[in-house]
Amino acid sequence: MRLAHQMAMYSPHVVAEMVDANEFWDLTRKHSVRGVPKTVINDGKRYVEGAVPEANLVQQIRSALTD
Amino acid sequence: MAILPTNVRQQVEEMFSSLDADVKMILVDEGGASELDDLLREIEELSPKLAYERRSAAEAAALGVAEESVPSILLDGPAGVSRARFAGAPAGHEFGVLVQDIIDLSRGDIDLSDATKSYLDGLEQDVHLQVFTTAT
Repeated sequence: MRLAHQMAMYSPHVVAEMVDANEFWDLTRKHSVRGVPKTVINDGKRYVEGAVPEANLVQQIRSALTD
Repeated sequence: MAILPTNVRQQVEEMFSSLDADVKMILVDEGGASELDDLLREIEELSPKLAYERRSAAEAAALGVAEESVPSILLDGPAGVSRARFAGAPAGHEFGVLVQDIIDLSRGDIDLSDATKSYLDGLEQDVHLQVFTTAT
């Protein structure tokens, strides 16, 4: 989680939200969140399950933007 | 009744002794009694460099917060309102992230690898990350 927030603090192109899955049921359902943490990139372009190393998250962002 | 246990308050207060610039916590919500409001008031008391402000849900869009993400916590630091936000309560592990975010913003600390920074420097498109978590 801190990783996503660090990216948002560093880049003006990144917004990172920590979403309380128990409070935001509509969003949780929309993105089929069954386990946490789950990271949603650009409204579902890519999904990342679990806590992943920094390089993996960068790779997933890269993929989401090149679709 | 206090939300934060005494030992946690003491620990966070000690961590906040390293704060540099002022940081303001902004709660965007529907108003009324709220545990989130109580929590942020308690955190504000832990450092003279912290401030807290409550804004109405009607102002969400103007603050860059989607209606579907209310209630949200924003942090306003030396570089303006941060793009790192919390939708809902920062409970459990996420409370630690909130504390660390306040410290990072206040001190301007960025803990990312050079490779990641280099990639982010070259970004031309916007990236929206939503990290779903729970209190447990």
